[in-house]
Amino acid sequence: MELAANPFFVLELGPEATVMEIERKTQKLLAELELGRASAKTYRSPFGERPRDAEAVRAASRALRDPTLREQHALLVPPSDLWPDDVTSPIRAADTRFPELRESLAGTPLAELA
Amino acid sequence: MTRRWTLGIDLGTTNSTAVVFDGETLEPVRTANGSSLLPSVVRVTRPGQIVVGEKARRFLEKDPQNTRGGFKRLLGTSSKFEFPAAGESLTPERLSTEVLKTLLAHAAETRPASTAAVVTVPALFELPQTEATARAAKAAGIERLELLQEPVASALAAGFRGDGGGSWLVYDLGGGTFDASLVVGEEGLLSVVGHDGDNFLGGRDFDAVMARIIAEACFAPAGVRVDPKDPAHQRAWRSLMAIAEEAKIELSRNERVQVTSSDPLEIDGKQFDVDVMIERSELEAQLEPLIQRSIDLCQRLLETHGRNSLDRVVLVGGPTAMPLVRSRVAQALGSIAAESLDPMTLVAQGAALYAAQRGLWCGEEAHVSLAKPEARRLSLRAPVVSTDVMPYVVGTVLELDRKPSIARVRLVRDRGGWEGAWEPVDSEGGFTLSAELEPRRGNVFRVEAQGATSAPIPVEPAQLSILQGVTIGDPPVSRSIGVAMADGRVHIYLEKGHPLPAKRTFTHRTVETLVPGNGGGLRIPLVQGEYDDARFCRLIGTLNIEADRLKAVLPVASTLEVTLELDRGGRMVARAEVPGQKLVFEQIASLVVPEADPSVLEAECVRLLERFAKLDATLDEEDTKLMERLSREHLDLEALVDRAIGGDAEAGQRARRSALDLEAKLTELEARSEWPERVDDVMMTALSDQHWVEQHGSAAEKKMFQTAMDGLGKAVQRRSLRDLERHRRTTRRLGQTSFLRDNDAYVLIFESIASRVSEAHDLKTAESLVKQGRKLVENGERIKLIGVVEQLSELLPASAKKRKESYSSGLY
Repeated sequence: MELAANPFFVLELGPEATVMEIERKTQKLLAELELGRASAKTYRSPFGERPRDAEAVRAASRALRDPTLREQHALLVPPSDLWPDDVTSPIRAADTRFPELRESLAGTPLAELA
Repeated sequence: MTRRWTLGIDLGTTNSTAVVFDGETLEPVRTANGSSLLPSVVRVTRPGQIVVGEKARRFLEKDPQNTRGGFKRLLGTSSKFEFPAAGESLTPERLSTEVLKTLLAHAAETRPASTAAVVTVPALFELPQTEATARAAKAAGIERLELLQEPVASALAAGFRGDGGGSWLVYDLGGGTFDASLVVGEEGLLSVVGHDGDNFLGGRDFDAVMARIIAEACFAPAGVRVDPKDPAHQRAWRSLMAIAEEAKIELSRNERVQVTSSDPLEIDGKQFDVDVMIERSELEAQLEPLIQRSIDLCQRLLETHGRNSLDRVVLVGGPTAMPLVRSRVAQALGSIAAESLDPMTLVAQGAALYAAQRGLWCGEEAHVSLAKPEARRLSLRAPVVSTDVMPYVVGTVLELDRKPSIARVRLVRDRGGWEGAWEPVDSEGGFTLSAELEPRRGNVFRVEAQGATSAPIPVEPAQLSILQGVTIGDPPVSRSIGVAMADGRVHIYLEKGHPLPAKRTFTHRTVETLVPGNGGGLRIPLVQGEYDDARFCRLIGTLNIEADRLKAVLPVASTLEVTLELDRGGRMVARAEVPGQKLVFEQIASLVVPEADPSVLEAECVRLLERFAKLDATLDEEDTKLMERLSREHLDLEALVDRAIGGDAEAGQRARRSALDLEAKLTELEARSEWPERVDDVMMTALSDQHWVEQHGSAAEKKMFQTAMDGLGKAVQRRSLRDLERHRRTTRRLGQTSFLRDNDAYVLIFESIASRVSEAHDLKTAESLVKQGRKLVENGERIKLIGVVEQLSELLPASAKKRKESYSSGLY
């Protein structure tokens, strides 16, 4: 299960992002990754900082173009005020956050979507 | 500054076209006689002496043995075309290579040779056909190649200069087939959401109608009938079809046409001259049912995707030039996009535009400046084509240590005087700029840089260009692709519509023990199609795990990781990994379309007819209409099988595909005849699943379950078996997940599996696991019980019948 791989987290966009914003961000990240920009190689999520590559960006962009998948992923984005302040702490430690959210999704088809 | 261009090629069944795009205009490649159409016809009369195009087409009637057309349909098969005069035997792939080479040669008459191109393929091409097209293009000298689906190309060309929004229908009536594609545009990004088609409807059917009108007028008064199935009449029929095609084209421009033949036609030993006046209205009256068939199909496509109306219809293909087609389509489906669009070159135009989007430029870079020695080098990443009017341009300063240092960078547009803001260069040399584009045109920007003191610093490249217009999203997979499992079902890897490129890996278990040195192996059948039952899907290739290549014994139920990877053009790489032995199997056997044996097809045709007869009595009114359509398809199939028996390989391939489609549709109809029972069954299971979801599901799962239940309700209303199955899968998955959270779930599963222990591959191990499981149940050790259940279920076999139906798959 990889809740941190939610496409909204990968593209660092909110659930209200428009198609154009998704496209724009995708192109920007792909370009930055191609140039090896360090800032593009990781992203913040409520579960900690995660690595990001071009394949992850493309997959996230594809997922958000599908209205059904997009809606499902949007359900899993906690409001930003609930994000922990320190999201760059080690992944294992970060994984203990949001126990309720994690527990409710463990082993579910929704978890596979990420 | 040398110009650059892209090349798009529409490799057609009847005609092929190529279009060059220079970043501003689209220009068709002209043949020697100035036409934008190159007939896809090849003539070989002496070894190595190959004539392609119009010169070859003229011999299609007179010397059909040494002149071949229509070979595109046989791409990817093992068929060969004989050219007796030259003593040569050439594959459809080789013949396609010759057509592509000729197009490239014509393109090279006005500019240097092109070594990059986008070549289009029909939306419903199977993987072996796609592969063969790619090989033909490479052999023709296209080094950098992308394949694109024809409807996507048409939509891109039609929408490129417009806003691209809303729902579109691409109505593509070709020589032999009809394809309808539903395209949706949102904020300049087009995507194909669905297609449908009819393999038996095309311009050639229109020609046949015209040929019958001419025959009726010229030969019937003498009591003579021309029978296309009669080998003795085939020469006369071919001539009649050629005359009919010309007359049909003329009737698109004029109300009436005088039809004449240059030579008399010989029928049953008698000579007949053709000389008759035909009115357009006469032809139109007889074409009406054929056109209605195409419109019905479009309406079915719209209904399937829940669309009531269309924003525009794009017409593609020669027969769409006919006034009746245009007026009927406009009347029934909606307004036709820009009447000025050329239906013959639209596909190639879209291919050329897509080539620009993918950066497949030929020639030298247009905007390489004459670099000054002191110019600082930048690495820039900008989209070649952008739907966005404010795209990002991302860059890095190379040779970061060189002085003077660049402190900031900006873009200035050549036209309209737009100047971007100065953006700082970070410590890694990186910067991100925003470019403002003028809509629907090429935009050239100057790249400017300054040092810390605001002194200008020359940079290289000093310019970049971005074209603003509609683009397409990643092209979708045209048919679902998966692996057949030993239980007869298909494990879908990539669903129809999934954007490309894509890669999926799944873990499976083996159903047999493989011993190195004992020969044999395990088959991993790769299939394509929309059915859960493997036997209704097309086998497109097989990965073989050869026992002799293994390093050690691979026991039954061993883990295998299978990966399927498709590039943008739909070309596939399949890989199976044996994790325990660090072995990878990659070679795919038989990536060709299977042979279409006429006698097998004939038997299949009879078998289908028997099933039709059984079914007829059980249907209600709505299904009877569907049955009528299938009966008509069956008649078409019979005609194709007749032609296949007469030696027509193309007809054989069409018959093979149609028989599979028909069988699947018939199965669906048979299932619908048991519809009330099926619905009861699905609803009962869904209610049970609902119980578990309500008990143990999360809030999100409950919401998803409700959506799936609504879908089930709609599927019941529309009597759609496929939708019923799709939603049933979701409710089952959610129900099972929730069920597994119940304390007693694994105990119940364990008891169910334990009752089948006598069927296990390895009885000894299975019995021991049952004993172990019972002890765990007694002790209440439920977590450990899960492991036992998993091991036990892997030991249960699939039936021999199911394995046969799954192309002898060795996986589950």
